[in-house]
Amino acid sequence: METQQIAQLDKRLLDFINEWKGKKGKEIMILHKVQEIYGFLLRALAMEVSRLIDLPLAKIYGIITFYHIFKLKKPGKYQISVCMGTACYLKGGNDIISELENILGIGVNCVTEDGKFSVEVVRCVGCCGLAPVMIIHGKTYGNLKKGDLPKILGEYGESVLLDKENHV
Amino acid sequence: MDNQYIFVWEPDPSKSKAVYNYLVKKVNDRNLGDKVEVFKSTYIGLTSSRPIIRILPNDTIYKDFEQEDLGEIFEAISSGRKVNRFLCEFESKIAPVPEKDSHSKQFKIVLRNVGYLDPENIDEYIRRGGYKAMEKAIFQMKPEEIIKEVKESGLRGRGGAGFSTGLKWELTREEPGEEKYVICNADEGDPGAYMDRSVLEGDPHSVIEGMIIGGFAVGCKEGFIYIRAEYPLAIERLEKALASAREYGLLGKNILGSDFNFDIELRWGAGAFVCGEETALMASIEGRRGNPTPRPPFPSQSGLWKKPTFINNVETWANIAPIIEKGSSWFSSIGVGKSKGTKVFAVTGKVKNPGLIEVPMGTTLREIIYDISGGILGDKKFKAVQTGGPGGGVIPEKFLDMSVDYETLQSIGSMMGSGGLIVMDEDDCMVDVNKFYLQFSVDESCGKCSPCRIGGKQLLDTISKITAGNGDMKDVQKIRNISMAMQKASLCALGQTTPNPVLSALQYFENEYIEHITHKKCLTGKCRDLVQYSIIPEKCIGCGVCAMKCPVKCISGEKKKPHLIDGNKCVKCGECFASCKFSAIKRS
Amino acid sequence: MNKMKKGDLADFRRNHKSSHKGEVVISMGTCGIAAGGDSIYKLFESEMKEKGLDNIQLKKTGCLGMCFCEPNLVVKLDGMPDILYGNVDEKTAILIMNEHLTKKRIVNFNTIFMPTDDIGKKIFRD
Repeated sequence: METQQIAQLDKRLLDFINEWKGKKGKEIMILHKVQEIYGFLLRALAMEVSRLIDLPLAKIYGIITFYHIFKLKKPGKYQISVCMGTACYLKGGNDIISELENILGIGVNCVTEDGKFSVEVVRCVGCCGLAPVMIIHGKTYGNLKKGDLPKILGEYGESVLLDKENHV
Repeated sequence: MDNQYIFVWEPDPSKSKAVYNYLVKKVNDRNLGDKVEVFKSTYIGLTSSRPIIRILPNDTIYKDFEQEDLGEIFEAISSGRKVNRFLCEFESKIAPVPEKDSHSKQFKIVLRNVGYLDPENIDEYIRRGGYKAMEKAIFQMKPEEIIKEVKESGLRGRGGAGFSTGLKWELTREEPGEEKYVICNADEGDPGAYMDRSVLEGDPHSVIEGMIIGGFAVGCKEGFIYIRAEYPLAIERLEKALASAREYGLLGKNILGSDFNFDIELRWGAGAFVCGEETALMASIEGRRGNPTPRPPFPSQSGLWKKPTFINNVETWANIAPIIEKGSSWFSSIGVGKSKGTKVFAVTGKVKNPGLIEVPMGTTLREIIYDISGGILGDKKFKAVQTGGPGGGVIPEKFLDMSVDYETLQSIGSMMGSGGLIVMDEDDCMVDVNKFYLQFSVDESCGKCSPCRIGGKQLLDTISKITAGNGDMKDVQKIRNISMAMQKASLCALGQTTPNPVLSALQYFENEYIEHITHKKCLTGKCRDLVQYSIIPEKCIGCGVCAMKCPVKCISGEKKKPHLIDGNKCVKCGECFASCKFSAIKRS
Repeated sequence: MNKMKKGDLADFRRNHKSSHKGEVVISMGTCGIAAGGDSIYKLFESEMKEKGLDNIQLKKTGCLGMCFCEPNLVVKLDGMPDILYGNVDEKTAILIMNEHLTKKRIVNFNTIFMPTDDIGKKIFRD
């Protein structure tokens, strides 16, 4: 997978690069776009971008590895981001993570075998009034309780999960 | 007489509705149902330990009355009089405001439009007086006059450090060169703080207007807003706001037909806390790793692409238009000492009514926590409040009546920071909270300078050792030594402030550290390695609730007979402790 | 829209006349939306149309600051005090439309207040 060549870059990305090529401070914006379209930063993509905007690959990797948001591994179809801001921490964010680990059988920053879910811990998402909070696929869930999790994951068609729940 | 609406707020409505019931009965007895209506209110704008009544439309608020005074109050309401001795007085003695708000301790300048207008509709912003200050600045004021106003207003950076905004502008203006940049720092990274997000989502134009005025005063053509990618809604609303401002001719070439050209673009952050630091932020906009660089040179001399640059955060920018419109003396009449104006706080943690508030500088923490935010959740005991995020400190109860301003907070080992105010109660363990903040700072250290990179890690390891029950009294001195080295030798504010929470906890909650180290105990049960759960046989009735709740099934026993916890299997989650209705589970 | 020139802003403010007799303002910052403000907005949108309440303007706004009772909204009707409702679910939303918007009767349920006066209006008074 890592060595896989990109036959044709997504047109949206090419358009974006053309639009931004002459602008100041384009590098991070372009990498954001790559991740938005592809979900993560495949090495081949980073090489393509390096060629297109004439920036050494090492610099690009320098950026990718510095910032938390850029991913080098393919995330799950539904990304679960659990907030670990102070308010969420105090109100039991840790419990949410361990419960998710229990239910999904994976640790933080891992992807389920079927590629459906991945779990990550994020910094404050700014919904401290609703702590503890998690985000799945762009949708925010607040005032979480451990018991809510099976039902919420069920929304993403996870019937296996519900079976597991019955076993416990 | 107009219809009267009586709103009743009672501290714990689930337990007592005595005031509400009394008033409803009175209204019914007198057959006043079509003239006077009584309502239960869940929040009335302020909170107290006693019931509060608010009467509309003339907006009278009564508090501190006894049940037997209600008759008198009711008579007054139905005859249109007031009972002066129970009237609520809002004026704070320490924190003066020019226009008295008849029913709040808050005073909203930054949040003046948030909650009143549709952030996606520029027309509403203009109708509420938006871009009026910008028009005034461009057509009626000289750049020097604008800078003078801002300087004299006493406005200081709201991002934390509190540097004079006007002075920053002046320094940048005095630098030679045509090309200069304005930056808005919207990389709000403090965990537990969302002031800037609320402003950007609720009133993006106020920031844009501030930046245009700043750009005009300093002589810039270009501005950037560096915003967290984690705030998609704020980005969306900002983009819309910028587009509509351009369409109206309020941004771009020849603003309002003048010969002033200025435009603003967004640049996204990518999840690095250190990028809130000025030099790191600029490196990030330039498309590099967000490593800070030593100062001098200061951004005002050599900033973005080596050009003179000035950076203010979102809240600071939102203050600019009102200062220009109302003048510096108006602004400087708000607040205390060297801290002028207001401050937005995100009050979170263990309070009844977490939320976003804006108070004049000099308001006390007690007013914020107890009068506005409802006090401690579940009527637990207050323990501490953390201001300034991971670089701030904890403030214990004895300082609750102290004025909140830059100097006072600094004098007790905390800092203003960007405005996160996290309230902790007796269930929170200071050592554990310190560990949390250290974990954060260690993760976010960029790794460039060793005091921060290595020092932070060592601090974290030492504290983890303590929470695991392996602490030694020597560790306390070690923590102090490392902390001092970090404060003195780190390159940027991240490393310099990382030890602050620990140092302030050692100062005010040293007992807790000692408890962890010498007695190997965590009284709150947060440090799991130091906790043992057991069942008190005399109290246990054998209902089995704890056994059902236990996630690892380590509680056993026959129905109606005392149960037992298997200490080897127990993961110390505390579920049994929380679920037992008979206090039969002991935590030690 | 033509680009505005000097003085146009003041004209723009002066010439505005609202045809509405009131408004419903729903708090829709990130946390408002997360708490369900979005679906409450949609519900109001469709129901108000059906009930013919088109003289009342429905709009979204940023965070009202009262995160503890999201989703929340403000009802402002001419001749009545502004009322803020907290923890608005579908049932409360329908009640608000049937009672408050239609019959001008405040719903005795989850009423709260704007915590402050409208200072912004005072600052930029024309």
